[in-house]
Amino acid sequence: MKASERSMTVFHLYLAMIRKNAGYMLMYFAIFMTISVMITRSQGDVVRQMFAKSAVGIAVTDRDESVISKGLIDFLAQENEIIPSDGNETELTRKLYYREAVYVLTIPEGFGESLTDTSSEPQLEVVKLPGNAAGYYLDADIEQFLSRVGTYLAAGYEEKEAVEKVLALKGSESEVRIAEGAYDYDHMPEYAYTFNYYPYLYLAVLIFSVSFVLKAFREKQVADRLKACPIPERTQALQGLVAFCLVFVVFWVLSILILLAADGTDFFFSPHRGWFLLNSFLFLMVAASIAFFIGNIAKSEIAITALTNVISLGMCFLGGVFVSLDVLNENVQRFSRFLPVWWYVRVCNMLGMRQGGLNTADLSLIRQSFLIQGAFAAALLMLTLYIIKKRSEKA
Amino acid sequence: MQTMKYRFLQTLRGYGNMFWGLFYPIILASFFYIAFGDLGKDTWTEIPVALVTEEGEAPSALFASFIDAMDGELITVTRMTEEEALEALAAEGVEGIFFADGADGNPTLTVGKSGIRETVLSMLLDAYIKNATMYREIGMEHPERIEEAVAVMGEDVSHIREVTLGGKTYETVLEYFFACIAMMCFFGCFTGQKLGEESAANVSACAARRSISPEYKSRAVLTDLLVGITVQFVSAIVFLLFLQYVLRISLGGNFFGMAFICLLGAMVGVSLGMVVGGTKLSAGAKTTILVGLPLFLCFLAGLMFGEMKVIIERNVPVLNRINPAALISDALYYLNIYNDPAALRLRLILLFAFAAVMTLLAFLSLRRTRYESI
Repeated sequence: MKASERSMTVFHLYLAMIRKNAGYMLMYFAIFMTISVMITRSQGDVVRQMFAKSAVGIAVTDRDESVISKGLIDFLAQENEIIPSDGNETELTRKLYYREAVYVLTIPEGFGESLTDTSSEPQLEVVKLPGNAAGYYLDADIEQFLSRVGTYLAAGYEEKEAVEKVLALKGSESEVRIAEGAYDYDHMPEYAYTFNYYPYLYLAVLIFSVSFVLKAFREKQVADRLKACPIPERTQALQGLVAFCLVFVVFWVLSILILLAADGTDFFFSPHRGWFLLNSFLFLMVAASIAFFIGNIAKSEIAITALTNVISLGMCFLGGVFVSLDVLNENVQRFSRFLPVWWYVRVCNMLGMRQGGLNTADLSLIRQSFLIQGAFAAALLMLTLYIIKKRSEKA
Repeated sequence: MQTMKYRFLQTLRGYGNMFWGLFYPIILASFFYIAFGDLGKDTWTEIPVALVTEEGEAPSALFASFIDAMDGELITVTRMTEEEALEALAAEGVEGIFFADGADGNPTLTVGKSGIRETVLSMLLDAYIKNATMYREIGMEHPERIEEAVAVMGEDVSHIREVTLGGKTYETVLEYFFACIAMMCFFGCFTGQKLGEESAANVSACAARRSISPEYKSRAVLTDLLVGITVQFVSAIVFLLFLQYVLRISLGGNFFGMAFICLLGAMVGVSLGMVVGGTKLSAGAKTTILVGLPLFLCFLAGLMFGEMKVIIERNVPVLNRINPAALISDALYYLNIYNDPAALRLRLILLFAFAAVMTLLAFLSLRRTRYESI
């Protein structure tokens, strides 16, 4: 055996273990990748509907059947889909559960009269889907419609004429502009959502993969042989790290290739593809450093599993991977700023929403994010090596 | 009974399995709670906006007074020059700029991005433009009634009352917790895997020792099944109590009904684990199957993305009827939120059928096995 080969014995041993477990690693990768792609394929529209005003299903029970109630339904039908209902609660709940309707409106008998006769005041009854902005928009739309009809009636118009006039009023569609260089949430591409999910993919798959391989190294016979060999423990760890880095890069390349296969032309022609790639690569380094850290400090397989899940899920939930940063509580986000995943997601969101060139503030965010991610990965790697060195000195 | 007692102790001391079966769901639910805590709650704060006006212009003054009237209610208004406003928008100091004299003398709005708060601003502008058109029309056609009309518009009357269906509040966030309960039932498969491995003499040394003991094999397998299901069922009860009394999630009033659904779920999870554990597959392959399959089924039931079950129901509803994880979360919803006994019955029958088939399969696959050599 040549000297150079002998000096890389541990590296080759790691590679052999990695090859042996490659099937499982790829299977984990396939599971998490499939979940990521499936989520992002369906998430875009749902997220957009959560925040922006868009057409939604409204289940309407009209017990009044007056000119005004019919006018109100016509008004709502201008921008939404009306689902007539007989008021059956079971059916309505089912429609809400399966999102066929996000708003349930019941117009009580005598409601139309109440607009002119102030002595009777039956109110509209509504049920909204929590967490969906459409309910608030529709509340405001309905109140304004009724207020305007009431105004026309007070001005001496007949009911039918008042309703027709309100229905004919033109709004402000052409008077709202998005500032030049503004974030465009409505046109955020699907690949940006996929990139948002990569932290979970990387963390889950890398930590599982590392634990699979390190598990083999913890077997008594292998561990004893390695302890007896003349290669210092720190060098062994470094060689292991190099072998793992190869695996990490393979996973990263695979994740990008799958993204290209799914969103090929869109991502390929994105002006920010380089930043996306760099951002995801940096996060891969973060995930790798966490995987290596856990793999080395955890003494048992159970501890690895526990730490893996707590860290990957915790980071992803608090960092805006599973839940949009717009929905996350401010106090939670104050803590999340310390997590590299929060910075990663912010960059992904910014790049996804920014269709044109990047401005100074964007570049500053990228710089800050990359520095934090890089520093986190480097610090954790140093800490792991320090722990290994101390352990080796103790032994 | 003696065997059962020791199998209980062995199972409870399997910390790895207890982690997956109990502590992991508790950790996940805690993250759900932190992340979704504010979803659906009113956390509205006033929107900072800039108002750019031109001195002396009558329409501009009218619009400015409309916007000023909203100051402190829905928005916080700061008057600025156009340059100042654009700078503030770029620096995210304001979220929108109202130009009182925009294109063709009409007011316009410029926003920095699209979102809920920006939509509210555009609705304000929309309201102003529509009201202005309305008053112009009334002024031309019924000038004598303009004061009455203005008085009606100024009235602060609400025509809407928010109600609940059947007195129960529909909370979308509950879908995540119900999917989490389904997942915890499924993760009983790790306990099942260990028990299955310890029942198959060609898989573990422990099982080989057990197989030469005078105890009937079928009784030993039945004991293992009972122990696994009981441990997972009790874990599920602890988890439900954690959700209700520690995280204070209002799951619904029918605790015993939920416990019954969890029992069926635990039967599915543990017996799945026993079936896989008793096979000759490698340890890695078994773990991959038992991590991957439940995760994927729970993903389809809305664990990682709540809308997934809805999308499936719209496109391939049969998938929601054959996915035990979706059946568990659906059954919990039908039990606690819905008032639809027929739908609940269907889910329970399907879930019971799954549990019975899986338990039978686990029992049949492990009992009466004979080995010529190990």
